[in-house]
Amino acid sequence: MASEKWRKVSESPTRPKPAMEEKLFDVGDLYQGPVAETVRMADTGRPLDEKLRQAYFWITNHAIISPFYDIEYHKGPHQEFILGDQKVRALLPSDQSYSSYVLLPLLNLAVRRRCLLVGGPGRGKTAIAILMGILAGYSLKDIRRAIQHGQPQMTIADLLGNPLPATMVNAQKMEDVKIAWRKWLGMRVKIIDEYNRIPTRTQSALLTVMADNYAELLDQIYECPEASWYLTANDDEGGGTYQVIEALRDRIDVVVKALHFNTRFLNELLLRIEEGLEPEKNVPPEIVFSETDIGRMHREIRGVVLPPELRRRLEFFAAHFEFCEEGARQLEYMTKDTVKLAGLDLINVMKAGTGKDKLKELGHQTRNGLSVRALMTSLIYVKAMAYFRGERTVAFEDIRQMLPFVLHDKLVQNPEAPYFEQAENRALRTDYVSWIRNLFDESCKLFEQLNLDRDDPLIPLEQQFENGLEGVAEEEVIERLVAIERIMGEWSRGRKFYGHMYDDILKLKYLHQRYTNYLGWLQWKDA
Amino acid sequence: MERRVTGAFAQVLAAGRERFNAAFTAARRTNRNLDGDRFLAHLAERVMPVVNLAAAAAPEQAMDIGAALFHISLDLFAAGCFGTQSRATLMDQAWRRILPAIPGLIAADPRGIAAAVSNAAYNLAAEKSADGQGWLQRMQAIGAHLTDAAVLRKAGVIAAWRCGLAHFREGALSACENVPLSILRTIFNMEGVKDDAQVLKRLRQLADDPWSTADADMAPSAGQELAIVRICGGFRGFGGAFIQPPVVRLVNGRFMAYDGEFQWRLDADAYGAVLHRLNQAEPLGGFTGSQIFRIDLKGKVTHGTVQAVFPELLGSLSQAATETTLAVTLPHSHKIFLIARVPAEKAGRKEPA
Repeated sequence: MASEKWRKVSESPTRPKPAMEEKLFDVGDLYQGPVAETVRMADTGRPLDEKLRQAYFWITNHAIISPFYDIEYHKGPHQEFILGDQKVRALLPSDQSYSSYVLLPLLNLAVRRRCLLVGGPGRGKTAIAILMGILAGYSLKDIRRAIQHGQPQMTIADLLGNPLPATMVNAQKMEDVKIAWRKWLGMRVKIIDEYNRIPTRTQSALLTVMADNYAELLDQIYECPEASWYLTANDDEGGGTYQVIEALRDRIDVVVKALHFNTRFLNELLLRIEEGLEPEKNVPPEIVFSETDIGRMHREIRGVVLPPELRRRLEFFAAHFEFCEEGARQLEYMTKDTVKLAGLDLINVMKAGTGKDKLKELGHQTRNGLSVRALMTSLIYVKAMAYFRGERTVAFEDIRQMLPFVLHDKLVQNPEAPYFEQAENRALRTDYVSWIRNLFDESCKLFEQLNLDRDDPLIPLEQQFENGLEGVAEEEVIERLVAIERIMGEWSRGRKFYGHMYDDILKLKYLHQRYTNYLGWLQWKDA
Repeated sequence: MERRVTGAFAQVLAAGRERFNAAFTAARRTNRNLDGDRFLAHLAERVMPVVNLAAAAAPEQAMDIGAALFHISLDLFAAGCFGTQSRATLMDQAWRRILPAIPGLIAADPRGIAAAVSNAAYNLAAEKSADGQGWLQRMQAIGAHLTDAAVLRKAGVIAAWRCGLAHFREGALSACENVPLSILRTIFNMEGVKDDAQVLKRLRQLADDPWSTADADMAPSAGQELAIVRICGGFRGFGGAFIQPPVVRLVNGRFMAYDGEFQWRLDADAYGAVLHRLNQAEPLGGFTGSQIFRIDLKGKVTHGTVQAVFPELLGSLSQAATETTLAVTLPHSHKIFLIARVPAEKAGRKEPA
């Protein structure tokens, strides 16, 4: 039987803020104190971000020994220390900070996406995935049975199910065959253990379930519910027994590293052995989320506001990577995709580029750009991070902290970029989280140097255009066309063509074309 | 001398031995100083009598009662609520005197009732100006009349207000409507008042005038005088609330004070005065309130047609007033002086700070 202490959930508020209004006294206050009057049960009226934080703190305090705070938040000044010859910066966060290893899987549960847990054996990857299943309301027995263990002999039938022999024998046509679908397909938490040990053909079947939310066997379809996925892999590079197919890797939304065990916490392990405590058997009922809770949480997360000024920074950041000036002569095709589709070695093509500072050109550090899926995933996790912190508006730090985990497997590094040759940047070749965060920091630095937060010439043009073309007079259209041409003219005078300008120029071209078409229509109408 | 656990509680502990031991071990993980021997003594002295009495009232509930009280008392014990500090005395007494007096209620909702009484004792002990012993005495006395948990809670609030928690005034007054008069008589020391109508009249007086008490009929207003009815606050260095002489204002009909560091809310009436620190650190808005209740720089207080001079309040720093109470602060004092009209025989009385 579980002890009550073990089931203790952090008291609310887990992230206290100054009260905005005078607190009114209530007779019930007399009975609020060090002990709760009831063992609290799930309460649908309670703010779910608070419940999410309580779940987080229960996991970090009682379940997973993850004494790391790699998602750092600061409130005002903070202490920083420089260690060793490599000048390693050790920051002591001045605001509530989090362990990515616990936080990201939890956010994944809330936004119902796909989370890959990577790290060596015995680091607790499966343990945290199981906890997520229990937090979603499944019993330990059900969730353990539903885990799909990747292994080299795994067939599609192992993964999806089997046709019922009787219906096979009697079937006159394919629709007559009945399939005994595997139970895990209908669950809202799906765990694939060691997914990189699944044979390639079975990976393709898994891809259909992950990407399109249905399973197909012998022309029969099983529609799966919306689910949070947890995949584990022992090999960070996705090596494993089988190479993971690109499309499957691309479907993974966040990558979380299972960090090493801090030996200073060995005593915690010892106590667990001595006391025979198993966290997954003692999850407090008040932090278990119902299907409705998760649906509501998802909706609330989508409702978190991303302010335009931060969205602009994200746009600017994402603009750096797809551009490859050397890849084409036509503006629209100057992308890394063009080079890859041509079958050429992208790195050699990029090396051929001259005149630009390859240390400053952020796009030079990557071998690809950001897909629509990557950007959408970034947006949802950024919102989820703000929501988890009890905010209803995204803050700059939410973006900075989430991007590395979302783009971890999406932004492919170009390790031969001169940037990584510099002594202080060499470690970024292996530490992708820091690399992506550094990319974002460098992008923001450039954004500020260019004064784009105050003077972005495209913003007034975009705002004018968003107001609609209806009723805009011919003179006004011509004026706007001239304004676009003026900006293009200015940019073409002696400036290098950097990645961040590429999307701006394409946008200017788009606006110019829309106004040109409209002008043509206006002139036809007046003729 | 060592006491042993006996009776129903002994059976409960034996039946759930592994579980209770695990709970204690888990508690010791977060509090290394938790002493097993002391906890056993605590179980024998405080928990066993309550469990055995409640189990006698509902033998089939013995296991639930024992387990609930074990866990709640472990939480309190681990949090140091039964420690050696003076604050712990009230908690100790609540478990020894109040809980054994209400075995039927404990049997019906062991965790809820034990937690409510414990939390109330904790809150009363935290308020220096409250009369915790008075509250204990009243709650113990009404125990035999309590058959309903809702009445217990309401009676607890009324008694807490009567014993100095002035911020419960409004809630307590409204709770009076749902509590039997026999209980209210005990809480307000009106056992001698046999006539129910008289009891109700006195309760109405309480609601009408914050400076009246239920001890006696109010004197007609002609016989009232202005008096300093309460002094509260004080210098933080000497155990008070304020770091600087405070200024007072009336915000939304309530007294608020600001000492250059924090805002404080002041609730005061004939039964007590309580200051609660608010999170706001900025100076006060609000205003000085009623214009018919004022003090001038010479210390002359005017309330309508009644006047009195208070030499100790010469050169006031700030003032704020409701229709019934004038709050005054001085430039050289960390205290807040409250002036009201009271029966002539009570005028001149000052409550301790």
